[in-house]
Amino acid sequence: MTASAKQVRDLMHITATSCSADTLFLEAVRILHRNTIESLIVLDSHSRAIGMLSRLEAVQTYARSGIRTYNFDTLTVAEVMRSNIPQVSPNIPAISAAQIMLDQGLREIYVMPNKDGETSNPQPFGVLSINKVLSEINGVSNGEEG
Amino acid sequence: MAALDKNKNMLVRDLMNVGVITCSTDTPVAEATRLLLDRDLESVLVLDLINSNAAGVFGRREAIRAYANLENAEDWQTLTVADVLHPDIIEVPPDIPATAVAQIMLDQDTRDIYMLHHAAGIGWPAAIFRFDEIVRYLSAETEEEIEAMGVHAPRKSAIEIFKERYSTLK
Repeated sequence: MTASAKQVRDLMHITATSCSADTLFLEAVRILHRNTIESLIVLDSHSRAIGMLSRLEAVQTYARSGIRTYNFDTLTVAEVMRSNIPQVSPNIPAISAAQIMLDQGLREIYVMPNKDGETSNPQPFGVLSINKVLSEINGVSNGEEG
Repeated sequence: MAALDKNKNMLVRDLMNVGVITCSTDTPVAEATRLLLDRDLESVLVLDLINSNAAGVFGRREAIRAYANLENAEDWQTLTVADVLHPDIIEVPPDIPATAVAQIMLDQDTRDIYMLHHAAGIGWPAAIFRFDEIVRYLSAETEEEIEAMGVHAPRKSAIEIFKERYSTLK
């Protein structure tokens, strides 16, 4: 199977790092940096996904600090997170999902359950990263497919 | 421990990395992509074979688009960086506020901004300002961590460097 034939479900990983909306912004950024991850899913007290904080939102916040003063000691994730979680279906080609990520300035996208029969704000069950897609492209194309 | 003031006006030169990872225009795309993955880079600067002029940028975006546009996946092996590079290199001077450049990165939808030294019609790679350095700066908890990034490192002014090079006056 070529990389272009692989679907999101074939390449996603199933663990997503999370934080709560009242986590301090700088603490969340530390989690991103120290764990070398792209994003955190923000969960409410019922473990429902209510937003996402990625490196993109971190840099957006930093850029805005040039024209307004933030109190970074008290700034919380809730104040700067993206509330519409970028998501894809597990059943689309991974290369298409990668292009969606690039179009939205992202390097990771969440894989959510199909909405039929689900409650709103479900918890994601996977994450697809640009690097995983690139690894697949290079691995498969270099004849390293297992 | 006193909290660090992240509202301090950092300049690009405080957060940039001197030294740029490059490849040449004839580098196979597969090899350049391997470089991105192995070094966890967003992009590499592409140098012209003839005079080492900065010819463009090859990054994750270019790799994904190149693959998506292939008719046959096997053609990936024959692509070179010259076929798919992004020719516009976004440059900024090192002495402007880092927050302004962060906004430029967002506006231009790029995660790397290069600083080139132009001489004799050639753009030589000099430094890079990365998305990830902003994240690293925001995540720093101590002055030591900030200093380790080279922030506020003592730097000679342009006039001091000029005097050192060209003046016999002490």
